[in-house]
Amino acid sequence: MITIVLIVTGLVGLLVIVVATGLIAQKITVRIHTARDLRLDELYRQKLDPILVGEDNPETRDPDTPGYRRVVETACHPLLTELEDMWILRRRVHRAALKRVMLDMCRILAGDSRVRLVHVFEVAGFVQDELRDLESRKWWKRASACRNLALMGAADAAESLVHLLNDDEEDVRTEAALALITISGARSLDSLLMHLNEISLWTSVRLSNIVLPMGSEAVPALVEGLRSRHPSIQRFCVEMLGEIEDVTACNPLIRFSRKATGELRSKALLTLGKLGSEKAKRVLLDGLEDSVESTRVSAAVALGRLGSPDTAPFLSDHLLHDTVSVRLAAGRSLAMIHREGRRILAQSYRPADAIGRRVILQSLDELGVPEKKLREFER
Amino acid sequence: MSLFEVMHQKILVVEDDPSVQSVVCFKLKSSGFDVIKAENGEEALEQLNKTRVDLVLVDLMMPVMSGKEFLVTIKKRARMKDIPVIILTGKTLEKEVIEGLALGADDYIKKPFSPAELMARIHNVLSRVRH
Repeated sequence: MITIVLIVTGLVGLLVIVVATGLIAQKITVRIHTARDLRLDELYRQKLDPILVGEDNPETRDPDTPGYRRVVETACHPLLTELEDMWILRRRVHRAALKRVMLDMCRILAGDSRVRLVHVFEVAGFVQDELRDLESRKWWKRASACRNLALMGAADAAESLVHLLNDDEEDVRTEAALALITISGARSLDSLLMHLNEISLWTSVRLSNIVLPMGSEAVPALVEGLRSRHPSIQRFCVEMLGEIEDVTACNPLIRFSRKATGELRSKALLTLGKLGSEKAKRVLLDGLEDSVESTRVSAAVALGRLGSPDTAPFLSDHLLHDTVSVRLAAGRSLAMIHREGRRILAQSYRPADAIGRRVILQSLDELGVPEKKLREFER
Repeated sequence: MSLFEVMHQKILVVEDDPSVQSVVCFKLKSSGFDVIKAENGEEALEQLNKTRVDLVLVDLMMPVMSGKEFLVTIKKRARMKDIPVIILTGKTLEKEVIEGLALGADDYIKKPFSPAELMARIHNVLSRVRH
């Protein structure tokens, strides 16, 4: 019995020693690697500085000329030769450091230096490496390659990225879409929206960060995107059109809102209100009669933004005879249609029921009508 | 501004990001400036107490003492308040730019930045100060 206890204790002790030694060894290795990486990062920053921000040759200032690329190639030559001459394992570590530093530089550099950086990525073969990774069986490698290609500004990657828009993994599809739009800009947006399947809310947010700065340039593609088969893409396009507020989107949005139903119709009507075109009046008045409550609310809100006096009587009907949220939206919108709307609000006070009266008082109060005047209504 | 004019003009670069520091310092040195580095506002104040500098290039987001605190401090000190300051930062919102300029900065450059444009702005600020 005692022997067994001693053996077990010995084995446990041995196990503890092995694990502890392993942990210590791992910690030392991590430290050594971190120190090495820091040293290599510093080394490659120094080697890259003259290539990226050194004096430029006035004859090759135009990045679209072959001369420009030649100058960058010549500048990179010593660095790349040095890497080629290294042992395979050492070369791998050094290339990883070079790539890390260059990707970091993408975050901070703009202008000519950024253009040079794009060329260096190509000349050093990093774009080719990432293109290979796009075909990896591991989805996280494919996603990471998409991200890196976007940072590298790799124009040649567009075609491969389009294929990944139909990838099985949503993360890969998202990264491919973001990369494509970063590389090709507004001109890739329409094909991207047509290729994409359903997108999550998070993808919409990330995509909107790229689309919004494009402004009116993105409008034709977003209008085209309204024809997508997927409601989430249509919703994204409607929302972006509302944010960009370009009136050229008015007619397509009117057509869209006639066919759409439910949430999509509601969003389209709100967007039409934001665009503020009189052309949308008819479709907004139709929206006021929709069977879905949220659509009637959106139509009422949009009519308020439009501010057209001849829509006031229609809003008045809904102020008196509809659900509370529609009545509230109609009341607020009437208050926004200056003279005519406020006249109708005043006239509607007597025939209104208790809820209608409270809505009228609240709408006028929100508008800043003095309390004394509100009391006159009550009398 | 000619190379002769910029020679021996001293620029203090206050930046904690090694990549930005490396690029900026290289560009400044290759244009003929003398460069001193600091990694935060506190180190920058120590440098300013020791040496006279012609311009400060400062990031806003730094550990220990931020660029904003640094700017407020030097604008209160009689010996330092006239040193021109350029902010180089990733803070890009309109209100942040206005706030930076209201603190007394002479120019505001957003990241990502073009090193060539940065040089042009430095030359402009230095010429304004000289005249």
